[in-house]
Amino acid sequence: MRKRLFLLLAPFLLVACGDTATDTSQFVQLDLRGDMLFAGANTLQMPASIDARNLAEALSISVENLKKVGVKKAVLSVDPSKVKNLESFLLQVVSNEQDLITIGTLSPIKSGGSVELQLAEEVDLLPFLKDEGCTWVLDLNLAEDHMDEMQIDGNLYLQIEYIEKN
Amino acid sequence: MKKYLSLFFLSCFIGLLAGSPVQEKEKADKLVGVWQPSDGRSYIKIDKIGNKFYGRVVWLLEPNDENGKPRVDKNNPDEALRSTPLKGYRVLKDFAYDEEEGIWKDGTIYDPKNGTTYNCKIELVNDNKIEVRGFVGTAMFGRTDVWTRLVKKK
Repeated sequence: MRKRLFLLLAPFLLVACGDTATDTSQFVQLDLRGDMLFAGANTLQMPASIDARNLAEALSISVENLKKVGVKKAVLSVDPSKVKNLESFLLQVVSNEQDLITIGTLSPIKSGGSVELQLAEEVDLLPFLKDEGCTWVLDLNLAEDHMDEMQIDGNLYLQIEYIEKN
Repeated sequence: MKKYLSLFFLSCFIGLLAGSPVQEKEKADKLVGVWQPSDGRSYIKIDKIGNKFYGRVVWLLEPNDENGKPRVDKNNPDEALRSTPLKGYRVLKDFAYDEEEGIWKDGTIYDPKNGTTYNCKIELVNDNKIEVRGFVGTAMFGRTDVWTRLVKKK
C-alpha cells in the first residue's frame, strides 16, 4: 500500500522538490496585417504560432513544469512613413476559454522603427498558451484611412518560470 | 413502422424548434454593429474575436480633455495602462452567446469614469435596440442601459 502511494505521489513530489528557474531566451514573433483600415479604432489579429508544449520542448521540460510565462519586453516595428497616421497600440491576448487581457500599450506613438510597449503590471500567458485558439490582438487607432496593407511586426520577449528537471 | 415515423417527425419538430447552427450563428451575430448608449456621448462598435464578442469605443462626443489632449483611461486600476486612449478602448469584453436564453452573457463592461469593471449581460430588444445590464455579483443588483444601433440613413 505504501509503495503504491509513493508511486502515485512520486511525480508530484518530484515537481514539488524541483528548483524554480527562469528563462529569458524565448520570444514570440508577431506578424500582424490588415488592409482597408479606416480612421479610428481598428484591430489586427494573429493566431499564436507557439503553444505551451513548444515552450516546454525548447526548455527540455514537460508542460507540467511550466509555472508562468511572463512578458519581459514587447517590441513592435513601425514603418517610419506610417508613424504620422498611428495614434496608439494596445496589444492583447485571448483564447477559447480565457478572457481577453492586455499585454501592453503605447500612446502616443512618437517615432518609427522599434517601439517598446508599456507593459501591464501582471501578465501570465501560460493559461492562453495551454488553451486552444490563442490569438494575439492588436488594437490600433488611426488618424486617417489606410487602404494599403498595414503590416506590424514585433517580438514578445518572454520570461518563463519553470521547475527544473531533477 | 408507425413508431419510427412518429419518432422521425418528432425529431424534425425538435430540430425546427431548436434552430440550425447557422440560424443560431445569425442570431448571435446580431450583436455585431455600432451602438450608441443612452447618454449619447459615445459610439461602441461590437465585433467578434474567435467565439466571443467585444465592444470598442469608436467615437466620443468629447474626445479631448480640458487640456485639449485625447482622453485617456486615467482611472485604470493598473497604473501602467493609464495612458491608453479612451478612443478605441475595449469597454465590453468576453461575451458568449447563450442559445437557450437568447442573450449574450459572461462578459464585462468597463466604466472609465471610475475604472471599475462590472459583470454584464446583453439582451436584444429588437434588431436595433439592446439592453445592456451591468451588475455586481448577481444580475438583480445592477443598472440597465438601452443602446441604439447606428443605421445608415436611406
